Amino acid sequence: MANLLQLLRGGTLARARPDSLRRVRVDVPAEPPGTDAVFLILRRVRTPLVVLVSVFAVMTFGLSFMPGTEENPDRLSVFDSFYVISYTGLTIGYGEVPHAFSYPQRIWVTLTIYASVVAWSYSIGALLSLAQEQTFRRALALNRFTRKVRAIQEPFVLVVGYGQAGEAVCRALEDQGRNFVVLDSDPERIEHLALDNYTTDVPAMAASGRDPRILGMAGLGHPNCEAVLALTDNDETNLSVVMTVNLLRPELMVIARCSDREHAQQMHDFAADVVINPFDRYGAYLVMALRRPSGFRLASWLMSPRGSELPHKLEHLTDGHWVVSADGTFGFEVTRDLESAGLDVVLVDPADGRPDVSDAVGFIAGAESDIVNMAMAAHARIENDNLFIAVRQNSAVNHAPLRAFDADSVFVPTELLAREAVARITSPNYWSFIDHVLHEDDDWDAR
Amino acid sequence: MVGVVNREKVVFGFFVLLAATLNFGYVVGDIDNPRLHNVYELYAAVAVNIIATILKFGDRTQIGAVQLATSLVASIQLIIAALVWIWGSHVDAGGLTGEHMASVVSIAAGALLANFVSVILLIMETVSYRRR
Repeated sequence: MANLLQLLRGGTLARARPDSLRRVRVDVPAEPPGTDAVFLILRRVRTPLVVLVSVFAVMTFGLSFMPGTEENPDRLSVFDSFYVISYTGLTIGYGEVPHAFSYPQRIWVTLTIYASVVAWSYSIGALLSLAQEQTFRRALALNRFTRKVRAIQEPFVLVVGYGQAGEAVCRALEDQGRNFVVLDSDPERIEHLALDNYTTDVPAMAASGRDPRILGMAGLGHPNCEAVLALTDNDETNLSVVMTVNLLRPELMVIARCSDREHAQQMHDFAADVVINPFDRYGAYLVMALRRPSGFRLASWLMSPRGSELPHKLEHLTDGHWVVSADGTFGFEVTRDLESAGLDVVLVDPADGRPDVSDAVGFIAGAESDIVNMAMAAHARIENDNLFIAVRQNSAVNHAPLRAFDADSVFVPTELLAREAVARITSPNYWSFIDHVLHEDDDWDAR
Repeated sequence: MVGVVNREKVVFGFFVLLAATLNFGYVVGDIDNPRLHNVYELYAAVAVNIIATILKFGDRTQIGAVQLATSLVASIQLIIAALVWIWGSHVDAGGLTGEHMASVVSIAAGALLANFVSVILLIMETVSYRRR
């Protein structure tokens, strides 16, 4: 039975979905946060227009009062004056119509010429300065963006955050022939998107996903919106996106990126469909690769871009100890995962210098600097040639040298994130198959 | 009165009232007697009405939009009246007859109605502002 108290409060009763925290259905706000560009223009043209109209009015009035010549003693009628001022004020200049002017009339027309030039230059200058103003350009961009989003006819995905992960996701989505809308608070990244050569016209806007109104304009309320990806490098922004979607459009799928457990828990409270913590996931994959090599081969092959070959098998890496050299949460997460898999792990701080790996079976270089990681990995290879080396790569810039180094495993947080996100979004069935693979035991995978 | 006066509203009020008074002054008098209707007054009414219309550009409030509409109606009516006057006094071979004058003045009287509505809206807005 409907809750009568809720009806009394004036809101529409929300459809029950157990994992949504929404009690009252509220429309997704789509009101532009700035002012509408059209209204902005109209407000700004007021003064220039009033100046122009006043100059024309005063000059017409004055001219019709100037005495005529001796041959034509009548003063110009209001209409004749308006005619003369119109062509003079618009700098066309037909000469003296309907007949030669008297000197007072000529003096007045001279005045008109200068007054109208000043009025025009002021008005045009005011309009040009409006066109160059940041707020106005932003309002225009916002209008254009809203219009583009509204016109989308097919299902689309809303991607918040266009960093490395966002870009990888967008590439993959385009590869699958899906539509998407992009939001990022950094205008440079949005500019970058325009140069990224997508085959379709991607609606993109430089605005923060923290603002529910911006999310609304980016298509959160659009009937064709089918999923939201929160992929910014800021956990709080991602959490804010998850909350907004859960409360305003709980039926949509949400995939969020996260880098610590506290935020992940908060996102789960708001029923995020998937929370991906790349650090945590990498540990899990690594454990899987060690414990269930066949399953790992299959899962990673399924998640690779089309046309990839099956990765090679990993063996004999569980009998010996591992060295993890990492700072921050990554070291903590990976160590935890490896330890829970029953491995012997030594966690060292990269600041303490090159770790001793002479009797280890595996080494993970997981510092936040790619250079430090490369140096540590190189040293480890010199010290122990049979070592399994995993390197964390933080920036896409270092892709080529790392490929040349050919580490046994390269962990690119953003890539892992993108791959999982895309696998889940392109086809839930596909993902549940992968999930199945991840949880079966190795005998099943080997078949 | 306490607080800062909204200059935009004062300027608009001035132009709306001036438009209405000029319009009224032009319409008063025998409808078909050209000597009772000064063309300069018509001319000034047109100019002031156009300015009043421009001053309401870009107003997002409901009452502002309605004021824009009424001012626009008055401006259009007055421009049509001026066109009829131009036709009568410059184009028509018979000159400005009583017939022409009657239609000029009646069209201007229509504009006067729209201007009255503008003034009423202005008063309403002012009163509701005072109550707040």
